[in-house]
Amino acid sequence: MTPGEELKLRSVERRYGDAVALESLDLDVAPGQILALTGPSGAGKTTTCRLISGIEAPDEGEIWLGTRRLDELSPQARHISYMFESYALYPQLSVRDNIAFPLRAPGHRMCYDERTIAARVDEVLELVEMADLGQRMPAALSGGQKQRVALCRALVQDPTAYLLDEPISHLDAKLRHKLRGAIRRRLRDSGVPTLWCTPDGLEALSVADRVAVLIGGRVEQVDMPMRVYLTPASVKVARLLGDPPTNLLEGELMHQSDQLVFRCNGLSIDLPHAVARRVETVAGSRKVVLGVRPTELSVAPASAAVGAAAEVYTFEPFGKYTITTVQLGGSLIKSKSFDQTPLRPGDHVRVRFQSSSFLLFDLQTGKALR
Amino acid sequence: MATIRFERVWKRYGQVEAVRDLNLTCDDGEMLALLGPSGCGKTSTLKMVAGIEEVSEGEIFFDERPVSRLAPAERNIAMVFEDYALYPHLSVFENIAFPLRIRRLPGAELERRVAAAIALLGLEALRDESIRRLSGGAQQRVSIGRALVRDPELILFDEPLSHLDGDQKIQLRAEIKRLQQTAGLTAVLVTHDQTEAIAMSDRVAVMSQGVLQQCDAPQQLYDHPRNLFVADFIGEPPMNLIPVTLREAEGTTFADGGGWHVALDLDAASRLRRVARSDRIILGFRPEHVEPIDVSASEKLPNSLAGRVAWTEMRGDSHVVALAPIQSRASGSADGGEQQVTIEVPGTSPPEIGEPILVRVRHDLLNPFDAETGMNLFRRT
Repeated sequence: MTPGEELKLRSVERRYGDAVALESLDLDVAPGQILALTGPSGAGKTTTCRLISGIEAPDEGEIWLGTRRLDELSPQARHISYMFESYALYPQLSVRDNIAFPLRAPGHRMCYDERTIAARVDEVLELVEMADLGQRMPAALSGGQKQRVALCRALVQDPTAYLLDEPISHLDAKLRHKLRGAIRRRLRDSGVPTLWCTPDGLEALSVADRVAVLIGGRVEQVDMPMRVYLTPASVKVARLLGDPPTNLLEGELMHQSDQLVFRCNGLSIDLPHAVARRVETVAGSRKVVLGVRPTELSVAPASAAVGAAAEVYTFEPFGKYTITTVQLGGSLIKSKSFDQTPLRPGDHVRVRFQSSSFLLFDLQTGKALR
Repeated sequence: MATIRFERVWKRYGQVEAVRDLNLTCDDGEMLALLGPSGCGKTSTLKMVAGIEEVSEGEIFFDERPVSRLAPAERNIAMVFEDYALYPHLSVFENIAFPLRIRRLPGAELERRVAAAIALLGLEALRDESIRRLSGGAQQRVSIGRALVRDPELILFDEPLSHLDGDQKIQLRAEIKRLQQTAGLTAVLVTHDQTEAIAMSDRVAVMSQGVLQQCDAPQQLYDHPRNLFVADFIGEPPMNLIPVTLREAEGTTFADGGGWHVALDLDAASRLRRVARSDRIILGFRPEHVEPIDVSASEKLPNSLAGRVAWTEMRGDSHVVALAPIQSRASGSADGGEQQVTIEVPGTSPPEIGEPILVRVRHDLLNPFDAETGMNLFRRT
């Protein structure tokens, strides 16, 4: 195995007619590192993969692998392992032959004898729990099984980089959990850069060394998973992450004597001094979006002494936690709790905001106020 | 609305037994979920209620009325399908009005009932919109409106959310539950998605290979699964299941296996002595049903496991942590290889890889299973 090299995108742009699919994209993925590219559908995740793999060419910018200009090489000469979102299995080949295909291709980076190929195929099939399905034809597989075969075909190679486009989205929860960990460890050991695309923000946080949030062809934020989660750069990022995502309330910041207060729809929240220090309120008040994580507000019976009066909209027990949605002022706000007594729609309750880490965004620009 | 009761219901397709001896009740105003992997019999069960499939043996009752010989149209059931099954060339209003037009309901009455359904589902702004221009979530709301407008005795939801993505799914999941509770609907939900079943239903019936495994309130199902199938099927990450051998030493009962040596609390130990038929059992506990304890505390603390962090995974407001056993004692378990244990800890700062951690399973959330029958040894029934 040759040592891995860094994958770099510099000011990469891609346009389809008048539509800008990717705008001035800069990304760095170190060897052995997983960069998760996450964002809603249409954000440009797949386009990014196609440009790196060479299926499409960028209109502007450069793609580098170490000291080589990747975008000047043919797709074959790049030796990139690319798992398509659509799987793209060969229908006339068995599961085993589909997986072995890239290893037998004349242009592959290494040369393998059939025994080595068989051993490698066995190993990846074992990893995805399909050891007994090697002789099946793709037509006889479920959607989740096809996705696992496509994943195997990507993992079996010794590439210069991995591009995985929604590698585990169609698997059941249990297998997803298992494979997230197993694939992540394997990719890190491979010593080459990996780009892992997923619309699932939580999956991105779980698998990645760094997360890039892509929205509308632009990178909104690139950072370590914990930092993206704790300090989202914009309202758009906050809306995408968390289970359920952060509550976002539009309102006004103002000073009342010594206290910084957030107001919206008759709701008034005193903000801790640590938050107050982060923002300067120009000329008395300022329009903002306040972000409150569902775990940072609690729902108590109406008889409780403190808290804002609210009405239960929905109550969902998930076993390990419950999500209570309350109607407060004109907004629906979600609370996530690990020890909530059961409630029903229409119940009167009191809501307490117990956060030391409220998020604040400028209402106009949507950017975080730090 | 009605109560539904299955009495010794079987469904056979030739030699294949799709549903075996099903006894189950869905109460008036209750949402009952049928949950299981594909081929478990949940869809066959739903089809028998709807009258799309015949009952091979046994009887289904709506209240006290047997219905298995009735044609689908005579059962007054409404169905909501995964692909909405709307008329694409008709407006929202006309789609919802359709079942009433077939029944030739008078204009004013029709208008009133459709308007009520539209208001209930918050579709006022989309009333005259063409179906083609609606999002998946809005289309499914229309199909629920079409189901409700007939005033059925029972609503059947067949994988209602499986074609929706992320946000819309979360939103409609809550909306359906709210609607069912506020309107007091009797409803049966068929789903392969445990999150949906648990969040939306009053009770969940878990099926496997045609056999009902357990029917209980979600929390009960989650905390006290009746057998290994339910234990393993419900929950993500899945429940830890460790094959162990029970051993008595110094007045304490230990469970040894997978490299772990767990001192059981006195109550659990005495219950196990009464009910376990063998000293080889399977010890189960959920990843989130543990609490970390100070490492300086005694390792002989009941129901505790001493491990070393093998890897961690961030899950937003919590971390999943895999622990490998610390092999320090020479008590020598003959149980073969080492088995990692998964725990889930709230908070945003993960432990370091290699760090020693002592955790204790929370009281009453240790579930031992019979290694042969797979039944939960601590269940009363």
